[in-house]
Amino acid sequence: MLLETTDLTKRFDGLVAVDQVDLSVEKGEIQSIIGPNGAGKTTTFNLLTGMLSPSDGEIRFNGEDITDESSEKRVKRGISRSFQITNIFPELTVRKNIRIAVQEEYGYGWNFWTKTEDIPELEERTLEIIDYVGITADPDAEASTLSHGEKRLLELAIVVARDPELIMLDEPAAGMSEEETKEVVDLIHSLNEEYTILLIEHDIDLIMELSDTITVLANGAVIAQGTPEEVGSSDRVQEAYLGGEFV
Amino acid sequence: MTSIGLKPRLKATQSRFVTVKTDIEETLPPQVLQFLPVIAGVALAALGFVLPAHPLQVMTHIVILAIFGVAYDLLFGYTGLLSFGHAAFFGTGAYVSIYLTTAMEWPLLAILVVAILAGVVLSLVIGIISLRTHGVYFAMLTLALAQLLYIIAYRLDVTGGASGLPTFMRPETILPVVDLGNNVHFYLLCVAILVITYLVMKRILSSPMGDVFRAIRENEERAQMIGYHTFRYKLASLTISGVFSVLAGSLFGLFLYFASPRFLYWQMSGEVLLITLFGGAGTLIGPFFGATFIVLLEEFLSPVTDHWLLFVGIAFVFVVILFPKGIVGTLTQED
Repeated sequence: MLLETTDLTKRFDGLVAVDQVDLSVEKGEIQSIIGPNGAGKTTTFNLLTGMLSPSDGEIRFNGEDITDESSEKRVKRGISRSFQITNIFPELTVRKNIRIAVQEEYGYGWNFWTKTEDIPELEERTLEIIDYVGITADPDAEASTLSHGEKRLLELAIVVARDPELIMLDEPAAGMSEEETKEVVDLIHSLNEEYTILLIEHDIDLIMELSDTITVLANGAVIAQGTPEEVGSSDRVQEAYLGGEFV
Repeated sequence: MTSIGLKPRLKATQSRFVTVKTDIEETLPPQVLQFLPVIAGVALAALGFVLPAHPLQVMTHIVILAIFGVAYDLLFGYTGLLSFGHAAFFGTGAYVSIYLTTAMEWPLLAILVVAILAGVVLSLVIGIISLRTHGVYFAMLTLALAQLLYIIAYRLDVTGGASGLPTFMRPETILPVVDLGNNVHFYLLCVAILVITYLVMKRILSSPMGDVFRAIRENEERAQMIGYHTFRYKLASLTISGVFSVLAGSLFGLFLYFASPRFLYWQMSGEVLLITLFGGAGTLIGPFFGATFIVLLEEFLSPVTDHWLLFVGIAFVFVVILFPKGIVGTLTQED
């Protein structure tokens, strides 16, 4: 098991945002977490990446307890995430956005004397990732000038640049056109050839098409877990979504 | 791998000023660009031989504040950390150099080494306390710590209390031909340190670590989620900035033959912030123009009115409205 949680719980002043969630993500799979707004999806992500610390429960990655580790350590272990709201370095160029992740991966962060241009492996790897993710924008364009779809791609590129084991995507297709969404689906499929993927998504069709396993959250708790078929036919899931936004 | 056929969007219309830099870069061969700082340094140094006594003092003042501004800009313009307590470093530098000159009669080199060490220690203390917070809280904590130093310097006997520490000479150097008591020689020393500061900062900012600083400025959370321990990098940026600020302060003390609690006071922190904003935060040559502007303003207005700071304030309002990226920041587009 690549990632496992037991009784993962997060309380905010009496509100239980995440309620005893047991997750298990297997190496090589695409698992999705779905649920209505406020179900605790993003909070779960934040617990898994160390941006929040859990009130209770345990998180294990590759069998090791990482519950109390800092975000940075978890990234170094191979957990890399994207954000629901595009989270890039807006005033840096596309190239630098990616290179900044590559140089941490290659251990150059503390180098303060060599010109970055004079480290060819950084540039090579950066271009490789641009190509791999399929960014067509000018690498020297400032990231803030990109279109929304390209920014999302750039964020994926930053995630991939850390060469993680587990990629966590928070609504990768949010705000994208139908066309762009299809491309993201293709991209996630091809990412899955190398990486395990855990994603949050609202688009049910996309989830059904992509996922090997689906975990359904409602009010912070898991109400169903299984293959898309199993989850799709679950009464509890139907119930939770009735009156919800996906009726 | 499927190619993602997102249409490259037309580049957003950029400010007309942006083209200026491109033009300069295209017309000048890269070798010339590379030596530009050295050429500028030589030109500045040459001024030392032609300027009459008083303008030379004004230039020295500008150069020292420019060193301070460049140091400050690494933290503020490139790492995105608004310190409101940089006077702590500047003032400490002045006390270190004056004390070691008068009480110990140490040579310049030893003084500079101690100043650097003092800068490292002070930066670590201030950084470890204040960098735990963000934004306005960071600004307030740095302000509080600097004010604390101000009060200590004001009260202690060893620092000369409210009247500060005077010196009647400048330190010896290992070079027999150099006499720092000669204002031209002293000016050349300041120019040399400005050029070194500039080149070191330039180098750091072209390195991977420089990009980490920029990444923290742009989006600290994202930098953390890439795996950077951002606290340590911020501490590094503060330390480099602090060390050069202490150096600037050491020169300032020697320049005025005097260390005063005033150099630790919050107004000094405000002055360096203004210098950086005037010139353009996030450009390394901006602080030089900012320093020139402020010193000249003081030079011409302080004999006319005691309220010359009022005019600095008015000028500042205009600059912020007309050139939000500062004077140099508007003309170029360094990042």
